[in-house]
Amino acid sequence: MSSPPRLDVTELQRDRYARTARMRLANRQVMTPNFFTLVKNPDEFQSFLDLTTQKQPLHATGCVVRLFDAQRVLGEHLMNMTQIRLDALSKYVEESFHTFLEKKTLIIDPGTEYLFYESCVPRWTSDKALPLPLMNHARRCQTKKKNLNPSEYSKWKEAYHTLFWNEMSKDATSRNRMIGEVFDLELHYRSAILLPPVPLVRSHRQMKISIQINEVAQGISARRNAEYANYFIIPQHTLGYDEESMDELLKYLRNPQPRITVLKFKYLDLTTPGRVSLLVAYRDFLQQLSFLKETHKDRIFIVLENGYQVFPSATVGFDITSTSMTGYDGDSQYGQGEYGAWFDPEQMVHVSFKDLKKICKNNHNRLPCAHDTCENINVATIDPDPWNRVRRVHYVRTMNDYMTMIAKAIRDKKIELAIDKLVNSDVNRLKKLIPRR
Amino acid sequence: MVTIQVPKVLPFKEVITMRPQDRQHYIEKIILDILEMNPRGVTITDIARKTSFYRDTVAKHLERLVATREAYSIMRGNAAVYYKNGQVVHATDVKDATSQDRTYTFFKLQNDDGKFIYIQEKELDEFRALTVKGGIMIDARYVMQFIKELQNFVMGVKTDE
Repeated sequence: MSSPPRLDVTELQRDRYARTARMRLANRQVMTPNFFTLVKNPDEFQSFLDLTTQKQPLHATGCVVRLFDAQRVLGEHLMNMTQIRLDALSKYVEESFHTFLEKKTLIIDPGTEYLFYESCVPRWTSDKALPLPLMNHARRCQTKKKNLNPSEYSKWKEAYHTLFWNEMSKDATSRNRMIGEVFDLELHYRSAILLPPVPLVRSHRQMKISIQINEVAQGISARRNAEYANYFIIPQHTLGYDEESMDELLKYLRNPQPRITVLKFKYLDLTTPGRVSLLVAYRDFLQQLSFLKETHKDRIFIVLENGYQVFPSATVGFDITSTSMTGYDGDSQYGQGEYGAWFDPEQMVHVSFKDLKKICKNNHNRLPCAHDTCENINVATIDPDPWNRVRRVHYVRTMNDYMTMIAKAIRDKKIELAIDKLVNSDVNRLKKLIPRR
Repeated sequence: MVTIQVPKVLPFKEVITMRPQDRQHYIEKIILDILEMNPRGVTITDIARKTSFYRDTVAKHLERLVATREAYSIMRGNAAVYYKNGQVVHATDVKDATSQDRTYTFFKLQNDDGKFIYIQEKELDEFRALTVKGGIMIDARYVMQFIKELQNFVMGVKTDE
C-alpha cells in the first residue's frame, strides 16, 4: 500500500526551452515560474505575510528563511500558534500565519556557506538550538579573528573550513547527527522542503563531499513530513573555472531522484562587464538544466540568491527563483543610508532614492509604477521606514509581474519576448543567457 | 532462489551511524520500497540477504508494518511472506479536530483478497516526523454494516453517560 504522492509535478505548457508547470506539495500549489523571496527579519516577514494574504500573487507564493534567522523571523509566530487567542476583531491570532503555512511554501535554508563568509558568523552563535558542530565552527572563527591579523586569519579560515568539512565527510557519526539535527530544526520551523547542510564548493574535493552529504541526507530524510531536495552551494569561481566540479555536478543531477534540486550561486552578478567566461558558463548550465527538464518533466529546479539573473534564470532553466526582498544578494552592512534603492521594473535595475526623486519630479513626486501599493506614495514627503517597506513589497510584486509575463509568453508561444524585455533594459548583457533557437 | 528487486541502499557504515529515530525511519522506508518493488512478496531472509540490515532488525520492522497495516503477511510452509498492503484506489486525509498533528487517512485498497477500506492514524512527533500510529482494515463489502455497528455502539455509550 502506498501513501498518496506528496510531490506532484505536471508540465502545463512548453515553448522551446521554457515551460510552465504546476507543483503540488502536500496541500500547497506552486505555479511555475515562481519567485520565492528571502526574508531576513521579522518586519520583512510581516510585509510578505500581508502581501500574500491581501494580494495573493500567483507567481510569488513562497519564501526562504535562513536557518540562523529562523528563530528571530518565525519563532514568535510559532510560539503564538500554541495558544488560542483572539484579537480585537475576534480573529484568531496568527490566523494569517497558519493559512500561510498551509497554502504557501516556506523553505528553511541551512545557509552553511555563512560559516565561511563573515557577515553572518555572529548569528550562528546567538541561537542555542543550532547544531553544535556549526556553532563551534562559528565560535572558533570569532575567537581566531580577534587573535590573528587579517591576512593570517584569512589563510587560517580557508584551511579550517576545508578541514571542518573533510572531517565531517570522514566522521559519519557526527555528520549524520548534524544532518538529522538540521532536518529537525527545518521541520520545527515548518519547512516544506528539506535542505541538507553542505559545504561551499570551492574545490573538487568539496563537490565530492557535497554529493556524499546529499546522498546520505536523502536517506536520513525518509518518512519525514517534507520533501527532500538536493542542495549545492557554488561560488562564482567554481561555476566559471572549475569545469571538473561542474561536470560532476551535472552528472549527479542526471539521477532521477530526488526530484527537487536547489542551487545557490554565491555572489553571482553577470551584469558587470568583462565576466565573459562566467556568463558563458552560466548560460551553458541553464541550457543543461533546460535539457534535463525536457527529458524529466517531473523535476523541479530552484535557485537561491540569484540577484539580477532572476529573469533569465526563470525563463530558461529554473522553475523557482529567489533573491532577497530588496533584490540585493550581496552581504553589505545592513542599514546604510536611510532610504534604500528602488527597483525600476522597466530598466530592471535598482535606482538610488536620490535619482528616483529627480525622476519623479515630473510625475508630481509619484512613483512610475502601477502597483496599488506604490501609486499613493509621494517620494518628496515619505519617511524612511514606510519607504523601505514599500520598496520591498514593490520588489516582490515586480518579480511576480515578471513571472506572470514569462508564463504568458510561454502560453502564447512567444518566449522571445523575454529577450526583448532584457534588450530594452539596463541589464541587456543578460539577453545572452536566453537561447535564440 | 528467487531474485528480489531492491532500491539503492546506503552503505552499512552510514546506516549504523544515523541517530536511532533516523535509522528506524530509513530502514522502514527501504523495507516498504522493497515490498512495493516485489508484488509477489518477500521473506525476512530475502530482505536481510539483499540489504545490509540484520535479520532481527528486518523482522522487527516488518512486524511493526504489519501491526500498522502498511504490510501484511501470509504463511507459506514455515516462512512468512510479506506483501505491501494493496494498491490504493482512492485516498483522503481527514484532520483530527482535537489535534493539529494527528491525521486519519482513509484508503480504498485492492489486493488479492479483495477490496478494503483502510483507516490509518498518522501523527507528527515533536520533530515534525510523520509516524503511522495504527490502522484498521475493513472488508469493503461489510463497511456499511461496520458503520451501523459503530453508530449503535456510540449511541449506546452516549445513553450510558
